[in-house]
Amino acid sequence: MSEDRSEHPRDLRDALVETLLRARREAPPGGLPHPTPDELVAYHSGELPEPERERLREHLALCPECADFVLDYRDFAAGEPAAAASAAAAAWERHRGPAWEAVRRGIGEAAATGPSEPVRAPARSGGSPAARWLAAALAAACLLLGLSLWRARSELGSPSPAAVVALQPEGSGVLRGPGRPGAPEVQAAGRRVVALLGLPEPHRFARYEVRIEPPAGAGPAAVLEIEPGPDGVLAVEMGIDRAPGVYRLVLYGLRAGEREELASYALRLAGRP
Amino acid sequence: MPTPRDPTPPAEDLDARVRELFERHAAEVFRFFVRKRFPYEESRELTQETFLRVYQGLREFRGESRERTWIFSIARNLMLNARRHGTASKRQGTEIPLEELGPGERGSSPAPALADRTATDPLAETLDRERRELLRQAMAVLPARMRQCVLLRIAQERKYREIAGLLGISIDTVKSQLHQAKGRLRQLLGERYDGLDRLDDGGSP
Repeated sequence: MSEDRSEHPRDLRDALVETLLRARREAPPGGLPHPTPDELVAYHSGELPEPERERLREHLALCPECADFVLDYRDFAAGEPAAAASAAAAAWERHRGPAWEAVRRGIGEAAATGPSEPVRAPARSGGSPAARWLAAALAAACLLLGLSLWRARSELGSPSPAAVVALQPEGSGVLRGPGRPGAPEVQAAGRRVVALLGLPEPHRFARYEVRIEPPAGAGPAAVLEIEPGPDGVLAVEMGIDRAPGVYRLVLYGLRAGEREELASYALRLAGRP
Repeated sequence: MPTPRDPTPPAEDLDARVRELFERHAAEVFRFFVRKRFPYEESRELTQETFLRVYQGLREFRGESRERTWIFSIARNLMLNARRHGTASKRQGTEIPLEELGPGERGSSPAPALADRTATDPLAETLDRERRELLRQAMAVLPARMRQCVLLRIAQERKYREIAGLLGISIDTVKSQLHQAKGRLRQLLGERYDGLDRLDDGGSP
């Protein structure tokens, strides 16, 4: 190409970001074939043979999400410098007992009302749609029971940092709340609210977006981006001291810059009694 | 690699299993949150929440992943949610129309800045296409490790030590690779691109 001095230099970063985007566009349907978390951990730990390591290096150079995962795992697995290690270890010694006590209490309460038989997650593939819905409904019911107890515990002044509520898509016909038709209600005053969203279908997206529409007159809508947790749960944190009333949450799946509306949920926040 | 275990342990075994996992991993989970700059009190709460989720997930944990990876993934997810919670609080009260959200907030990487200009100017479009092709060729002739360093440094804006950690090489090697890449790209691209100095500008973006 001839040198054209009238041509403004272009920013190298913009151009290389395009390289990343192109790699995604040219990836097979479903996006870049991401390594599994175990593969990333094995890569970090030096347990993979060299050809595999090289494949993962190439992937990490193109995939900020997997690179973030590896760097976070590095923080998780790394030994601390001596001074920091002793400070963190001393802090953990102080917090260990109360932490276990809180976990034990939570487990005890969940176990007291949990199902007598284990509830399995719906299979990712195979099985009839009806069977998958039934399994999803059972899992949701179990989750709701456990979480309603957890919520009750936090209302009694336990150290739980949040009011947690499980929501199912509007019109799904699955349990909406413990004994309440319509939007489940949560006592939100003074606490952050965490809504766990049931999905209308198995996960198809790596990322989701939620639009939180407050009740009329309670301010504008807000938008949050979320990712499914390792347990498959989509958790939305709604902040502290939101106005009481019925909130509508609209869930979108995100892929390659596109947004697909998937489901909506209703949640009633109660104010101070 | 996966840890094989009974997929449906009796309910009474779950308490003991969670206790065992807590004893084995809680300290490093707590340390992880501390390293991510959460205060001790919040780190403890997040550690508690991690193991409550471990309990909730144990019935369904079939050993598809390693136990430590699984617990780390739960802790990391909580860490990301906790950070987002800060972001969410700041966003409250501010209308953010979906159409106006930045690409970073929408789950994709930043869009190219020149897209609008080139869309309406055929000459600019042609020049830009040629320039892109030149960059593609230049990146293709770089050795793999050098190309990876460039992408991590420029496109992902990683620090030297992060690049070293990601690629499993020393920081000195990263610096050397980037310095060499700067010379080669300068040679191949001329003055068509700004930002080559960022390749070896001192390490911390």
